[in-house]
Amino acid sequence: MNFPSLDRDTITSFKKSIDSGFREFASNWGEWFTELLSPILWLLIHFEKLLIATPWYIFLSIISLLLWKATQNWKLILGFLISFILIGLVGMWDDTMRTLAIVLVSTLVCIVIGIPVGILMAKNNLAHKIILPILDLMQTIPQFVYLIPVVMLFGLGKIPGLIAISVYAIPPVIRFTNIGLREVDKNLKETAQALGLKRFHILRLVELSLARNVILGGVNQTVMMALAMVVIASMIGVRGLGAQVMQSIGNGYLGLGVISGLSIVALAIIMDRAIQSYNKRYDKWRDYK
Amino acid sequence: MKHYIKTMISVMLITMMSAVAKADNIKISELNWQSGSMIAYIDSFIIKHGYGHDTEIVPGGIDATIESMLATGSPNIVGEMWISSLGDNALTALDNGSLVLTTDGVIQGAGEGWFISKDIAEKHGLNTIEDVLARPDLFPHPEDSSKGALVTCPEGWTCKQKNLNLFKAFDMEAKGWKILEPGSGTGLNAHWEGSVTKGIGAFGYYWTPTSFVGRLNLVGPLSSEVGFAGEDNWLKCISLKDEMCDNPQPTQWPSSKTGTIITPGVDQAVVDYVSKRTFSGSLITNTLVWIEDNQATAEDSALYFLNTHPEIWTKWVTPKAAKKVKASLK
Repeated sequence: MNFPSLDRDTITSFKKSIDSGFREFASNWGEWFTELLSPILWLLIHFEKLLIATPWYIFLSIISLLLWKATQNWKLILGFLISFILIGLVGMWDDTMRTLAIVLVSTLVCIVIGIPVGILMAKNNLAHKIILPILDLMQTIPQFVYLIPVVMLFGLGKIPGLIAISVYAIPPVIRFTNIGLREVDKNLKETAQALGLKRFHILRLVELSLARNVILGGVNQTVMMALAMVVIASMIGVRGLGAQVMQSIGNGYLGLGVISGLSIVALAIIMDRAIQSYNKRYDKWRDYK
Repeated sequence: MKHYIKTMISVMLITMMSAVAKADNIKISELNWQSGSMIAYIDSFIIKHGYGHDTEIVPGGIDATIESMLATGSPNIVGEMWISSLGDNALTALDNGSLVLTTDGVIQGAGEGWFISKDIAEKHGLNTIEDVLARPDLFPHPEDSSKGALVTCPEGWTCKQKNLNLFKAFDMEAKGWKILEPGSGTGLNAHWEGSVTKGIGAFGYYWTPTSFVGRLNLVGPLSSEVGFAGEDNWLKCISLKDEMCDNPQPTQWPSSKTGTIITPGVDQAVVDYVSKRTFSGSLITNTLVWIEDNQATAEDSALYFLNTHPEIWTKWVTPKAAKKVKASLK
């Protein structure tokens, strides 16, 4: 027996009203939103230009230096150099830079929005109750559902790509910030209070410091998910490794698919290890095995 | 033990039966655009109910589908193939008979090319490609508003190369234009839809007949003052990869031929049906508008067509098949 569903016309008119409602919204607010996000677009365009314009040897030295400062892990740096030289040799350098640019800017956006939201969740149980299902929605709704409205609002290219990536990648940083703060020992907070610290200082000096490695774990997850979204983002005109993957799928080029896919993997492994290794180095007292 | 043997025998029987069924199984390629997938479902319904073959719908893009037909002989039928978008190996295969072109002009009056929205065209009196190229300021690129944006085809569509080569041929970079890649069919649609809704100028690739062109009021394919600059230029340069096309000449897009391509060895009755199956452009457009109005799936639209236009499709099939199809429509 069929489920007694609403009749076809009702469902159709419901779907159409969503359509026309959104079209109206896009025509009234599209320009406004585009204007609002133009600083991020500027940042994206120029960061990408900078990365591509930087000669490869300077890029490799600067990043090696940064990695050394952050992690003092020479194995990581060796791995970084080898994989980026390989990437350059197979002609994926520019695309890797494009991908790096959008992933890093997306991660930045996720951190800037995500950590305050995570703090709010940890401090306020009502906010916790409201935000949790929203995060579930963001992580499970098929990305294609929001790709079309995002492009209608912002046009093709980097900004809709960034939004698509951020929507998918922001939940971990929010969740981990929330958990990290909630796990901080109550006694330590009381001690800090007894010492006369203000709430803001307790948050900054005690809670965020102690939760830092959990939060960084969240950031790490965010970076990984941003990289995973790069291919989907290329469906709305984001150039880079994702577009190469799409091209190889579209044309049936196995070789190009493998090369660009592995470049994404290399990028992911290096960023993952760099964050972990940084985390370990600054939290030695936590007694990692 | 007895139990085991029984299960084994039944498993074997099932496998054999499905193998027999498979031999008779006609795979129909569902191309990933509205009319392409509607025709696939129409074919599937008629072949299944009218001619008694099992059918299977295989989704795929043009190139992947052709490659697969050449390599594995499956899918067996591609309903709405745009001849101009076929690559060299597909054309060779058509020549030597490893693929067969049955229907010439599946959709009459079909065409791909460059479109603009009607509002902008009328407001600024833009009628030809040259008129548009003189005004990059009306079609700002989202990432560099000092340039005009030419929206190309997504990756994996053969028209991508043509767009890139024509970009060179019309010397568009010097005229202040920049390529805007839509990334996917979804991206392309959303771009047109968003631009028209927001009233921003958009210029670039689309094709007709589509409900999309009707609903958004796009005009095109635009003609060029130089007309069509010859088959040689089109086939031996514009249609090839850009490194194989050193000296592209400006030209307008040729009107497109559409055909149905099948693998050899498909049941002759089915071939007869397929070779008669043609649609007028307006019929397709009307059906496509219905699809959008009702947000129908490809399967819905095929059933809608079969139900509303028996006077058309009954001419494609034998009276016996027509009867059977009609019976299963109820």
